[in-house]
Amino acid sequence: MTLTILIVPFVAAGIVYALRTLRLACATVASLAALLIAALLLIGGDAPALVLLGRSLYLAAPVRAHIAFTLVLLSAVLLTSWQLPEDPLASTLAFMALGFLLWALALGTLSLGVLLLVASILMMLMAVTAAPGPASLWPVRVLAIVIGAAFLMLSAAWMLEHSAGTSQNPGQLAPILLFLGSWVLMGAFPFSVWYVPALRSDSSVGRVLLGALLSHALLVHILLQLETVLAPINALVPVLMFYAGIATLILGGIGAAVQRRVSGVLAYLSMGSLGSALIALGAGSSVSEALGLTTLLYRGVGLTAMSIGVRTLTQSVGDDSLETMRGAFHRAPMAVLATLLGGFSLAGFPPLAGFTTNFTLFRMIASQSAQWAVALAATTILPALALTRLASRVFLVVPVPSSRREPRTAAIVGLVLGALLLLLGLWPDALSSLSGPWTDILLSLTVAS
Amino acid sequence: MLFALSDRRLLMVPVAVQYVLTSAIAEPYIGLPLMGIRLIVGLAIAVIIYITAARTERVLSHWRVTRPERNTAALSSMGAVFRVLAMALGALLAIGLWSSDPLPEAPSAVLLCALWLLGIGLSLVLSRTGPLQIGIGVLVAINGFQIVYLSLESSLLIVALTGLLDLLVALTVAYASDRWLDAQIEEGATP
Repeated sequence: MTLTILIVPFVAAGIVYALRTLRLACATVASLAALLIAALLLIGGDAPALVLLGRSLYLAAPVRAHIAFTLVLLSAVLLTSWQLPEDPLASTLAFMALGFLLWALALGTLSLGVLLLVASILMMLMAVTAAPGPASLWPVRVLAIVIGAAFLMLSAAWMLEHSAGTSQNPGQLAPILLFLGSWVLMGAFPFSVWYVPALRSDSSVGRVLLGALLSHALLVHILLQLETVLAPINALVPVLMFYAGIATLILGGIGAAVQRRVSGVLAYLSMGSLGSALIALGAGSSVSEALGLTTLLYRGVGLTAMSIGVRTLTQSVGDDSLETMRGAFHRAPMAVLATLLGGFSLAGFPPLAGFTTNFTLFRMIASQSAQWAVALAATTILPALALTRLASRVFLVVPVPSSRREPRTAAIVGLVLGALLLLLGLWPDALSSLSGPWTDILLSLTVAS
Repeated sequence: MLFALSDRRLLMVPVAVQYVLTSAIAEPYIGLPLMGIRLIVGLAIAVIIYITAARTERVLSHWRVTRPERNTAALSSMGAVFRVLAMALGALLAIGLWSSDPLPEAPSAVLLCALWLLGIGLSLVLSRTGPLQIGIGVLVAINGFQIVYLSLESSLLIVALTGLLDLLVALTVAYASDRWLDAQIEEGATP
């Protein structure tokens, strides 16, 4: 089963490549393939470790669950690519990236895993680069940053593997380099410099790959490694996560408030939400760990809903700047609702899902430091203001020149995801009540797994 | 040569020469057959660079004639923040290599070449303004890192995956350069 899971993404990439000119067929097949891989990841629950060419291959339960979750989101986005055109190669690159990522996470050999992880990120980068946009140097600069992180991780991998062979103690340097490399790739503060332009690009596939798939995979992998290769620094990692999370949340809030484009607001909201997840994961208790992972799940749904909404709006009114959104609700009502529901959830605004986690998080922080809690709550008001600015424009009753009706299927997919966030906000226990075993796997990590 | 050449097409020459020399340096550690494969991968990368550079030169030379008032260097970038972060990463890498003990096991000549290539690559990344030249800087830095890495870790899978990664990086550079050029053309066409 493990080998099937590892091969299917590459087969899917080949099929999708062959169908790339038939947009509807390509979108349908790609979406179904993503769901199939998600199902295989869940069905192959207790698959034993596979040994191939002397290397052990095993996908841990939390890794499988989180990848499956992000694949469902990717499936939704791929389905909408029928009406919201992506680059013809985007779906192929997405499956190639997924294939390399699964191999990277399954391989027990750290150095090989790092090389495959970088290969996966290069595929994601190509998928994001393919999106139309202004001439910019950020893709090659991101490439330089990714390769820099790879150098750090490969150095760490060599030190750890060499010390295992010679029974020397690698000390703390190797885990620190490994963690630092993962941190750079995750795009948390201060390395958000590469993350924001990537999420701002006009590609939902790219956004889900980098904003959900990569973030989930890296965070879950880091938490699992706390008991193994990162054990020498397992007291330091949560502290770094906590403070970097605070900085990421504050930066995300300020960044969202000053944006003039909805895609920019989305990028910074997503960054701020990652900050919330990091704060919770770094707080150090099992309850906060579950809270952090729940935040990550809600963030994935919010990011996808808003991304579909923004792209639908862009197609309907011709641009995603805040000024062109005047009266957009009358041309694209479902897309506007998807954008606002996803955005307000990412910002942690009531009564949406993001609020339930943010409220719990701030209450937890307030029990230790009231000042920090007030400061963080204040930063969540900034993105809410940005979204209110958007809302005040879209509901205006003004004619929208040269606009057209929203693509219905894409808008419905976005709206369903937005409605899900509203449901989870109004009924926070739904996640555990409706799908207990599934959420148990999603929320269980490290020692508990 | 990488710094001096202004014609992008000619950049393939130092890139190809570099892959020949670094493959020769790595040969005692990875063996002759694998050296041959690395050499082929390196030459393929040089060809990818040439094809991308030829298209870029052709389009940009036409563009300079038709719209001389525009300057290709005046493009949006991450500016000072990026440079500081890139320098910090470079410094961290250097500290990581020097303050731990893996380096005494690497031959000093190999180490010298590696650090030299890393330095050149980093300088290119920080100082050049075109995606292709920055991408070549990344490839040079990767080459520098790989010489040391392959002298320490020379299993077949590692050599194969580093070769695959080299190719993927070259393709990413070509892809990014192509998209940058397309965007330039679109912006040039828009008054």
